Order: sequence, then C-alpha cells, then structure tokens
Amino acid sequence: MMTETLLFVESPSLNDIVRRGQSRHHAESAAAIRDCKDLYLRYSRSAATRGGWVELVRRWAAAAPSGLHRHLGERVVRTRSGESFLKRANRLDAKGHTDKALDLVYDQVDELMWNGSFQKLDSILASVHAADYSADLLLGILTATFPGHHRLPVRKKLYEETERVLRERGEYEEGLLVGLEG
Amino acid sequence: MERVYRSDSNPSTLIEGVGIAVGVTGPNQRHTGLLHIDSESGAPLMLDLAWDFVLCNRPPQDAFGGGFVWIDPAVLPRRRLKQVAAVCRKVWRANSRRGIPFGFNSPSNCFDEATGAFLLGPTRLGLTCAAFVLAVFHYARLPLVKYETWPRDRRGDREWQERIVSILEHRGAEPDRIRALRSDVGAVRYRPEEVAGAATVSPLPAEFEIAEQRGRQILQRLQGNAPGEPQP
Repeated sequence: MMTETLLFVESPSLNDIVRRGQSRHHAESAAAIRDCKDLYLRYSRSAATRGGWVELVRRWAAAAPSGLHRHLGERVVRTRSGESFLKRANRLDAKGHTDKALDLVYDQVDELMWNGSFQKLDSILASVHAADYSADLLLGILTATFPGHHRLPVRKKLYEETERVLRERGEYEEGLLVGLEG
Repeated sequence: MERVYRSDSNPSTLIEGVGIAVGVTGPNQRHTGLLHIDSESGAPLMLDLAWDFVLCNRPPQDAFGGGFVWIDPAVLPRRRLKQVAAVCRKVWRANSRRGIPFGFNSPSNCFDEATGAFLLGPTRLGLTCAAFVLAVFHYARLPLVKYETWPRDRRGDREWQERIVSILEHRGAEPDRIRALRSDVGAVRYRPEEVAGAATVSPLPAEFEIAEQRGRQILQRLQGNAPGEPQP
C-alpha cells in the first residue's frame, strides 16, 4: 500500500498502470512495484541532473526483467523528462529533504548559466509562484540565480513576489533578502 | 566577544547553517574554513582550502589536530546561513576533483562576467584559505568584510606571500603561474583570524579595524591567554 501511495503521489497515471498490471500478472506486478519504488526513492532523493537520471532510468528499463518493468521505466522517463527542476526541488523540500532540494537548485541553475541558457532559465523562473515554495527554496533560487541577474528579466519580479509572500506569511525578517535584489 | 566557541563545544548541535573555524596549524601559521553540517551523518564538516589544489571537506579535527575555535555568524539571518551551507556543498561538488589553486586573488571577483558562473577553479589564479572563506560568503551575497578597508602590503604580508610562491615553485608549479603569482605579491592579504574576527562583528560587513582587533582576541583565545571561558 505504501508503494501505491508513493506512486500515486508521484504520478497518478503511473499508479493506474501498476494497478492494471497488478490485476493481470500479480507476481510480476509485485516485483515491478518493488523495483519501481526503489527507483523512485533514488530519483526523488537524488540531486543528480535530470539528463543523468533520464539516462539511468533508460538503462534500467532496457535491462528490466519483465515487460511491465520496461513499460514503467519508459513512463518514468517520459513523465520526468518534461518536469521543471524547480517542481522536483519543491517536492524534495516538501518531503523534508531541504538540503537535497537546494543542491538540485544550485546545480541546475549553474548548469543552465554555464550553457548560456538564460532564456530557458528565465522562462522557468516565470513559472514560479512564490506562494507555492518555502522560504528556504525561494532564497535558494534568488541566491543561485543572482550571478545571472542582468540576463534574467523575470528575476526582479520573483524577488518582489518573494518579499511579498514572506511578509504575508510572517517569515520576513530584517536582512533576509539583503544583497539579492539584482 | 559573543558567538565564539571552543572546539570542545559540540558544533553539530549549535551550527545553524555555517560557522567559521580558525586554528593554529604551525609556527606563525593559522588556518580557517567553513563549518557546515553533513545532512547524511549530522556531523560537522569543514570546507577549507588547505593548500594548492587541495580543497577539503573533512571533520575539523583533521585539519587542526588540537583545538580550534569557531564563530557563529548569527548576526546574519539563519535562513541565509543555510544558503551559505548550500554554497559550501556546491563548491565542494564543483571543485573537489581538481581542487582550487592557491593564490592572492580577490574573493570578490570569482564570477565569469559573460555567464555569471562561479569561477573558483583552475581558470583563476587562486585564493588563500581566508580569501576562500570570504569568497563563499560573497557568492552567497553576504560579504563578511568591507574589502576596500583592508590595507595593502602590511608588515609581514609580502614575506608570507613570497614564501608561498617559493614553496609552490619548489614543488614544481609551472613557470607561467609562478610569474603571475610573483606579480601579485603585495596584494591585499586577509588573515585567517581577521576573517573569523569579522564574523563576530555586528552589523556586517565588517571594516578592517574592528575585524583585526577581534582577530587578535581570537588569537589570544587560541593560545589560551584569555582569562576565563569563552562566552558562547
């Protein structure tokens, strides 16, 4: 049950697949669920880059012992490869893995800036609703993106929204955002 | 001085974000690094630039052998200190394999202008252990000191820098690099105890005069000359 709950939280559509598989081939499904649970835990606790994980899951699926394993692995790749790293970081943070979430943010932002993908990073920032994120994660996003602030026009708005949200939540304190204005 | 702790206090229960450790590592030689908590083990680790291309992330006792003192820079918001810890981990992940060169560059100039990326690494000339600590705080947008207040070419700085260059040369550093380092002799030197002293100052960033004064007091504590127990 725990596995099913986990899968449901992570991906409702994947959970449906497991349920269907379970009704058809119980033994195979149990093994697939167990292995998928391991895979999900490794993925959700990891600070690895998305590309690295997609590759790892692809290899996992290719070497999988059953058709259901392969099917699930492919779904993991499809589901996860389209997800923003900030959403994943937010999920990690919500589960109490704040350090891992921050590591993910710093690594991904750094990677995008090294690649010169400022437009892409800016569009990711544009999708952030500050109210959905913790103070730690918002500060992490603002800190990690600061070096590129001249090329991230959306960041200024995110800074303002962050200040507003933190004040509304009563989490604002003197000096909390100093140096992050950009 | 407040927020100064001896090494026999338990940093793992006291550190929220980061602390700054400073200790004596040899005759007329001090060393400093950043304490942070390993989220897996819960134990304190120290990120420090130990030597040329030797970046460490280790239990602080391994660096100092004997005692050290550490400073809780709690004048800064805890949530921001958590970001400094994240920067420590980031610097370690990015530089642990190749290390960071030793040198006399400014801690405030570690970014690539074009990409904004953090440039601590072989592409830059290098930092001292104290400048490294300042650079990490600078990257987290929390400068510990007012750089412009630090005097250049103080008594003993040039000799210390020349000694470092000689050791690097003796150990086989490339001639081009030695030439570049020699041209930097006379650059501003941030001493380990001054960086630690700066972290006791409120408000931050600290000016040279007060940081230097606090640094002297920290040295006295390290040498056991201060009367009474350090105040937590």
